[in-house]
Amino acid sequence: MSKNWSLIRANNAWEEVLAELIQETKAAIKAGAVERSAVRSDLREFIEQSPNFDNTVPIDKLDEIASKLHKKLVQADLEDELAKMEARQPSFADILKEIRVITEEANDAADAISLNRVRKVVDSVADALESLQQIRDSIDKADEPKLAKSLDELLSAFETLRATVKP
Amino acid sequence: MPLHSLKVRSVVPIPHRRRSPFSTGRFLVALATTAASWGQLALRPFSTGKFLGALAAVLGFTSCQTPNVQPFHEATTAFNAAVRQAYTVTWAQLDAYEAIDSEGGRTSRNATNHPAVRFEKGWAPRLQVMEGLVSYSESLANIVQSGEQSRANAKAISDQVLKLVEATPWSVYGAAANQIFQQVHGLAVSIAQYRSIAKAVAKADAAIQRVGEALGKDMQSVEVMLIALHDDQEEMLIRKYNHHRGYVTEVQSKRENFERELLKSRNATDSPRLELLRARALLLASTAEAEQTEARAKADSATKKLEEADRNKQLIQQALKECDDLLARVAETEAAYQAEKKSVQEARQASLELVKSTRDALRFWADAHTDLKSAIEENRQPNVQLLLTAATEIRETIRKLRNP
Repeated sequence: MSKNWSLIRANNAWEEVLAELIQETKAAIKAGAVERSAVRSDLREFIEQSPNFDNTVPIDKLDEIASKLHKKLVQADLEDELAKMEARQPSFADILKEIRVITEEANDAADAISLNRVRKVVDSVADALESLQQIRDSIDKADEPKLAKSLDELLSAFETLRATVKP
Repeated sequence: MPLHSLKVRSVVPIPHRRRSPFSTGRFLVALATTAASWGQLALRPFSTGKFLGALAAVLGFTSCQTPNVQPFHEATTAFNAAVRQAYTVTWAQLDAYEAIDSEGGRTSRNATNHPAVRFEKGWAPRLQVMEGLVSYSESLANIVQSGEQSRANAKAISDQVLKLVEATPWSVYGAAANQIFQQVHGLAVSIAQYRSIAKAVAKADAAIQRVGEALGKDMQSVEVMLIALHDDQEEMLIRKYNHHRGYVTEVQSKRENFERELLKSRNATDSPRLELLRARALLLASTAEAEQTEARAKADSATKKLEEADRNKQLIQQALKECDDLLARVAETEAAYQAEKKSVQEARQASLELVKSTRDALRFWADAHTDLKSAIEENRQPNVQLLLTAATEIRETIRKLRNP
């Protein structure tokens, strides 16, 4: 697609070349990004190479046309790629849901492995048994018969356990 | 929770049967089972069957090694930064882009169909997915790190358990029990880590592959858009300096023609120079009048040709000087143009480099995740070399983009 700009300059063939570029732009818009990029490159060369102070051809007008063609090709690439990205959008939403579930499970696993929860339970049980003994020691059976009975049962269960496992 | 509802067995699941004597071994195994059960994330009431199963699991999985997931986590963080940077770079270009509609009319920057608006809307879920993937990789790293925390907690737990045990006649086993608890706990944690990572990685792999593929395609789209947007910038730059460039191109074109003429003119002197040398040699060698006359005539002719060539050369050199003077008059503008052009081209190169390295890295990253999955299945460490190289490259590209 690349053009011989020296020859075009020598023949002052700017209008003919622009006519060619118009046709190439139309074809590239229907084609793809590679073709559009190649035509854009020629259009930029055209604008840069064309002699703007040459009175024989109204070059500024030709450059303006070339610039508009260039813009159309840029816009066509953006439109195409944005449309492709939008079409891929739903798959990202699905993946996000999936990944969040897996992450939550993995974090739960990490939390469980760290024994943080177990430690909390063990700490509270150890404290509870200690408190239980203290409470029981301080309770007068006559004043709080129901509570004392419950505590006795609980402590007795622990005693039974001890007795059962005694060597 | 009422005090009487607390069950000792739910915390310290000691196996017992009525009238069966408690033994040191049984107690230690109970502790081992407790550790294994905790490690397997279950706080279920103890049963002998489960205990044996757990013990078998401990013995069967002692060779499992927790895979090194840290490089994967670090690489995911680097890719997240790369995807964000690719977004920022593309968005900045689109933000400044003067969009047109199908009729060639200008599209308002705030219009819903402006490319920047569409891109921003479309990219948000990508960034969320990348954040999600960073959290996922972090959760894998957390599982590994949880082992450290677990060891600390295990010590505290076994101390507490021993506190309970001290109140009983089994205190004699306390020290040994504590030691065994720590050891078995270590194994249980390894198994639990291994299983948790294996489960998460196996479940996530299909999603990771889809992300890799979809983001890879996105990067292709971003590359095409960036090329188009940089082309647009270059075209604007050419138009900004259009008249100046037209002038420079014209002068340079003329100058090239004169350079060619100068070469021709220099070549044109070769033949008369040789003729002159031959004529002078003849004049020196010959004594005959006729030969001397002929040699003088040839020398004169060659000298005239050389003088003519010299005059032409002077004309050409004068023309070249004029061209240089003309170019010197616009040198400042030309320098400004070249500087802007260089800046545009460097920005183009850096952003395309980022997209390319991100696309490559995404492929390595997805492959590395599959390798992590295989490594767990095959009980080996994953191969992370390519991943680390890709992550380093990405960090370097981002650094260059931020500090050109």
